Amino acid sequence: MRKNEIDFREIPDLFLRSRLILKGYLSGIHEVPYKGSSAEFSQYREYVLGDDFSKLDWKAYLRSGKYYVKESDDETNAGMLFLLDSSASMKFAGKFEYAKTLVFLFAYVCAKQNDIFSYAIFSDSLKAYRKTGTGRSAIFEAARDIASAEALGGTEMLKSLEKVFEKTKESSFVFLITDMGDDEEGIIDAMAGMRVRRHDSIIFRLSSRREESRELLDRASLRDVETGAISQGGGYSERMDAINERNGRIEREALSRGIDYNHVYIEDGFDSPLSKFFSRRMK
Amino acid sequence: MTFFAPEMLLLLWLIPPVILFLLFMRRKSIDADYPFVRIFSSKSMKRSSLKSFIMKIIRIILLSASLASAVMYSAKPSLKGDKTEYLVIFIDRTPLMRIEADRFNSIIDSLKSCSPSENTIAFVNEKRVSLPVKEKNLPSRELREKERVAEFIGRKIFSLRSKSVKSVLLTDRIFERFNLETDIISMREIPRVMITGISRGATLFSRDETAAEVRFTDENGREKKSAVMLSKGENRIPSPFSLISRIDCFYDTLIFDSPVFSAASSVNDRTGSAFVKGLLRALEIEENDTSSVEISYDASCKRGIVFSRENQAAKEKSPLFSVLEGYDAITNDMNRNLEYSLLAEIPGEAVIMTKRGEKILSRQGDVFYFAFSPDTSASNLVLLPSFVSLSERIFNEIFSLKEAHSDSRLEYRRELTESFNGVKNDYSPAKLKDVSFVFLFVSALLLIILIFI
Repeated sequence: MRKNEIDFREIPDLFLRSRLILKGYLSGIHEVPYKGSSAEFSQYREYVLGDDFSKLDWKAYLRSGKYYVKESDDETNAGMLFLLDSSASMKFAGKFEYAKTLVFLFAYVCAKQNDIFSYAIFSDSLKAYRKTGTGRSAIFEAARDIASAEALGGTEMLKSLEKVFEKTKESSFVFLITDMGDDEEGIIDAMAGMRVRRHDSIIFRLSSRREESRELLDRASLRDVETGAISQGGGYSERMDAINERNGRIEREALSRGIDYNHVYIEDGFDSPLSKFFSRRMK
Repeated sequence: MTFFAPEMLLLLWLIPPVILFLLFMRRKSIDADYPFVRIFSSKSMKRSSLKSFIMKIIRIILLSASLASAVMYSAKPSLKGDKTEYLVIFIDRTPLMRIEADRFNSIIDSLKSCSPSENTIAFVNEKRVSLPVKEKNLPSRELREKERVAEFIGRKIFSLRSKSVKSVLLTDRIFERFNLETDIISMREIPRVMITGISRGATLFSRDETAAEVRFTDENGREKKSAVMLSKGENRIPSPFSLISRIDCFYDTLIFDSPVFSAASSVNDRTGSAFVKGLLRALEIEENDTSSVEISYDASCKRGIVFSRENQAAKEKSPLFSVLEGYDAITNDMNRNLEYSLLAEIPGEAVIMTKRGEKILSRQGDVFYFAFSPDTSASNLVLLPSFVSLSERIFNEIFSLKEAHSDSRLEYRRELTESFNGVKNDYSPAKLKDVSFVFLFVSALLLIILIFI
C-alpha cells in the first residue's frame, strides 16, 4: 500500500468503502466486463437444430424469411456466486475485513448492473447462503449479511462448498475468497469440479505479509488461531521455505485445473490486485 | 607461544558462559498466533528443524571461535623467531657529541646487523627520526638531564608492550647508576683541550701535553690572554679577573649568561685546627693572614665560618633536615653518622636544623655558624665525609661561586674526563615474532562467515 493511499478497511461503512474503491478504479477502466441480462446486442446467426426456440427473432424472419437467432452477451446467463471464508484464520491481520470488502465490492458492481448474484458465508458450517434478486433491496440485504459476518470457528470448507454447489445449477462465476487455511487440495478439487460443470471458478487467496515476517516466523513456537495447536521447531528460513513451497504448489495446482487463481496480499490494497484481475479477464 | 598481554587471556573465561547462553537461548519464548500452523508440521519441516539445530550449533561454534581469536589477538601472542621484534636506538646528542648523520647511519646499520630485528626505531634527543637519518631531520645538540633521558627510554620501551625489544643508548655521558635494561655505547669525541671548571681560576682538561692560549673576558668585555703549556690531564689557570663572562682556549669556549666569580681564593684560619687545615688543603684554598674571609671562633667575624666553643650539653639527638635545597645528600650523611654531645646556640637563619628546632648550621650575611667546635671530643662533624662537601658549598656561597660551580655544562665536561667504555647489559631480549595478526585475520574471517550463513 502506498503511503498516500487510503486504507479502505478503516472505513466502517461497506457502501462507502466500495464506492470509494470503485470510484478510483472504474474511472480508470470505463468498462465492466461482466454483463447480465441487460447486456448489449451482439450478433444474428442462423438457427440451427438445438437452439432455444424462444430466441428466434420473428421480425427478422418476417423481413427475410429465414430463421435467425438473436445472440447477445447475456447468452451465457452469467450469475455471480460469492463464497466468503469466515474461519478464524481470516481474522489474522485484517484479512476478513479485506475479504468482506472484496465480496461486497463485486456484489455492488453486480447490483449496479442489475445482475443477479448470490453469496455464501461459511467457516466450519454454512452460516449464510442467499440468492438475491436485482436492484437496491438485493444489495442492502447483502450489505447487512456481509457486514454482520464474523470470522469464527474452524475451516471445513468442503462440506459447505458441496452444499452451495448443489444449489448452483446455472452457469455462474464462482468467486471463492479465502486464505486457504483448510485442505487446499480438497478446495481446488471442489472448485475444479465447478469448472467441469461450466462454472467459471475464481479463487482470491488472501495473505498478509505479516504471515511471512521474520518477527513472527522466527518465534520458537507458533499457535494456530483456529485449533490452538502449537508448532515448534524450525526458524525463519525453514518456515519461509515451507510457505513458499505451499504457495507454489497451490498456484500450480489451481492453474493446471483451469481455475483463475489470484494470490492477493492485503497490504497491496485493492487497486493493484483488481486491475490485474480485470485486465486479465478482459483479454 | 608467548603472550605480551597475558592478562587479556582471562577474557577466555567469558566464552563458556556465552556458549551456554547461546545454546539455551530461545528466540522468543512467547508463543505467537499464526493463521494455520499445519503447514509447518510436515516431515520436511522436521528435517528443517534438525538442519536448524545443526546450523545453530555451527553458528555458536563460529561465534565462540571468533571471540576466542579476538581474545588471543588482544593478548598479543608471539612465537619464537630468529629476530627481536624491535631494535630501539636512543641517541643522546649532547653539545660535544660531534657526530653527523652519515656516522649515525653507519652505526645504526652495524647495530642492525649485530641484532637482527623486524622493526628498527631510532630516537635522537626524544625525537623519533626516520631511517636512514638525514642531517636536516636531526634535532639540535642539547644537554638533557640524565633522569629525563632515562625516563624517556623507559617510557618508550614500555609503550611498545613487547618482550622482544633490544635497546641501545648512544651517549658520551655516564649512565652507570641508572638501572636501564639498555646497552650503552659510549661515543666520545671530546675536544683536545676542554674547559672543565672555573672555580678559583679556569680548569682546563688536556688530552696530551700541548700549548694553548687562554683568553678571559670580564663583565665589561675586557680581554686578557695568557699562553700556557698544558700537561696531560687537569690544569688550573689563574683568572686575571674576579668576574668573568667568557673563557676561550682555542679548542673550547664557554660563555656565561651572567658574569661569574672566578678569582683565586684564600682564607684566614684562626682556629689552628688540624682538621680545618686539612679541609683547606683538600679544597685547594690558600691560607692567608690578610684574607677577608675568616675561619674562627669569633662571632663578630664579617665574612667566613665560625665554629662554636661555648657549648652546652646537647639534648637527645633528633633527625636533621635542611631548610634549603640541595643539602639532602649532606643531611642524609649527617643523620647516619653525626654524633655530638655538646651543642651551642648560634645566631642567624638556620640552614641545617634538628626536628626539635636546634640549629646545627646557620647563616647571617656572609657568615656561616656551626653549632659545634672542630674538637672531635664534642662532635665528630669534622670527620664526616659530608663535612668537606658542606664546607665547599659554604665557601662557594661565600665566594659567590655557587652558580658557576653548579653549571650543568661544567658538570657535563667534567664527566667527559672520567673514563667510561660503555656497558653491555646482561639482559638479552627474547627473540619473538608477533603473530597476533593471524588471530585477527581468523577472527574477522569467522565473523564474516557467521554473517553470511
